Amino acid sequence: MSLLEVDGLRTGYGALPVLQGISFSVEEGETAVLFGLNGAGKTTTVNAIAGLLPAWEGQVRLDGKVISGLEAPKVVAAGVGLSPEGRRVFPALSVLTNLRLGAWTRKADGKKAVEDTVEQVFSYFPRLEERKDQLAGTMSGGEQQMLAIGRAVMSRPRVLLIDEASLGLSPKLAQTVFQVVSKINDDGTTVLIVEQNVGVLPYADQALIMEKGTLTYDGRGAELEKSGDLRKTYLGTS
Amino acid sequence: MILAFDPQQQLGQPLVLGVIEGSVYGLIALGLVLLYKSNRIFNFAQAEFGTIAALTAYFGYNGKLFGIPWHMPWIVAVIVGIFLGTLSAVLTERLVIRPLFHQPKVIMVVGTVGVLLASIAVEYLVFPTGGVAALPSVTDVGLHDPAFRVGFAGYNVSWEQVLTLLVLVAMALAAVAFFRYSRQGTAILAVSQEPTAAATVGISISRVSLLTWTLAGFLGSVAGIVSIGGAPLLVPGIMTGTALVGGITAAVLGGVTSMPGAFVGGLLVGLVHQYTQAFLSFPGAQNVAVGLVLLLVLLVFPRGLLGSET
Repeated sequence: MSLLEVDGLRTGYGALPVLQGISFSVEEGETAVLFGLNGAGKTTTVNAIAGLLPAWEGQVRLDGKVISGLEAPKVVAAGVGLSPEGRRVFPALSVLTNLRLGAWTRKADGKKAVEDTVEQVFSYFPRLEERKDQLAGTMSGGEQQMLAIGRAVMSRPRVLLIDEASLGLSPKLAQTVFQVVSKINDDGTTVLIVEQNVGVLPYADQALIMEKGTLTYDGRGAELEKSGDLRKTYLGTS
Repeated sequence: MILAFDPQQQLGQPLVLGVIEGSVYGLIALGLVLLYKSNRIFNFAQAEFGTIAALTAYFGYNGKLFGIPWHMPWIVAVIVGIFLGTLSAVLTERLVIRPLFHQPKVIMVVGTVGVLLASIAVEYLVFPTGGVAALPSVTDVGLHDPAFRVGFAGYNVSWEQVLTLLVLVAMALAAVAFFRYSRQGTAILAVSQEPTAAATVGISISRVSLLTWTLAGFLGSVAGIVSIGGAPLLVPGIMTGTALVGGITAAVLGGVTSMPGAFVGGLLVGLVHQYTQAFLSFPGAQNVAVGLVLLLVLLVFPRGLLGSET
């Protein structure tokens, strides 16, 4: 059984349908990358998994348990963390407070466990430790991206969703972020990244491609990387 | 017309009265800022929670609440008043704000105007006498020696005034401490800054909304009790009529999103009111002066005195 299963998911905004009934699954311990052009439905997919959008039809299951229909806070408590599109850090709060808020659902774990996770996030992103007392809104785009990912890691999710990890980042910084995400994955967290940057492919165990609210490719990342045709057809590169 | 100079009448007394009046505006403003931070709206019913609290306390004390002979002790009547004032805010959140959560903010603001008008109508139904004499003050009910006075700048400060000031300052400090040090306070700040992100870290937006309305209702109710206690007249809608504009002005002066700013803004409005009244005798001078100060402050500090975000 896969850790994350999306089964016939249909949803949208208001009366406007976006996802036309997509199905895919992500194995525990793997990194899956969801590609697609703007408007393909990538963000809608991760928002629906994270409980920010209700499922009109179909199900989302985590380790066999249905999580579609739960509100976002309960989805987080169930083990799904989201680094949302546009970073959405809390701008007038410090980096440290942003991170501690990421552990909102872990009150029962106690302060020590939360502070240990803060240290773990600092080991992933040393820049955040240097800026821990700085207001999040005053940091650069790259630093805010690190914070958004770090904040999502703070809930110790079983599945980490990252929406547009490299958007607005320099190629070098994007690679740094991908390497850290790979390390987070190596440490045991299953990852689903929404991306338009093919530079993430070397880190992908699984690749998914979306087009107009449907899934048009679901295969291994290495196959997609080797296949020039696929890259040309779906990603517009060769 | 400019009045002749009298140090006691024009320096000491306006300072004391201005701080007390301003503290009430500050308390209303604290509630307004709290709701602005969480819901991004101005709540036009904020001051009316105070009228509900004051009317309930008055009629509870006088044995006429809902036609039932209660004869509550003064302190119990005040607690029941604050409870019902707070409850009205909770009901507002549940019955009006929650169903409008996903509507444009302007709809929610109009909803609060509806709550204000409905509250005044209900007050007239439940308390059909209209105007009543007054909610007794602490001294009136014998909780303190009426002869107590403290000399300040040539002006005798009464027990009620000292108590009012202490309560209001304590409330303001508690509000600041709540946001700075408590988990729930941090959650409210997070929701106010990025509601979507707050949901993605596990914070329940609906619970935070209920909490902020409860706190705002409590602040408004306390403002109603302290400002109406000992006042000459108590009528439905009185807090909206006397304190809402001052509270909104204080919130804007303070920066709309700043809790300390709300209180500082309230003090400024109260002091400008009282000093204008002490020096100028023409009708409306107080409001003109407050309007000018508001204009000047916003020209120099477009985000208000202590505002950190628009």
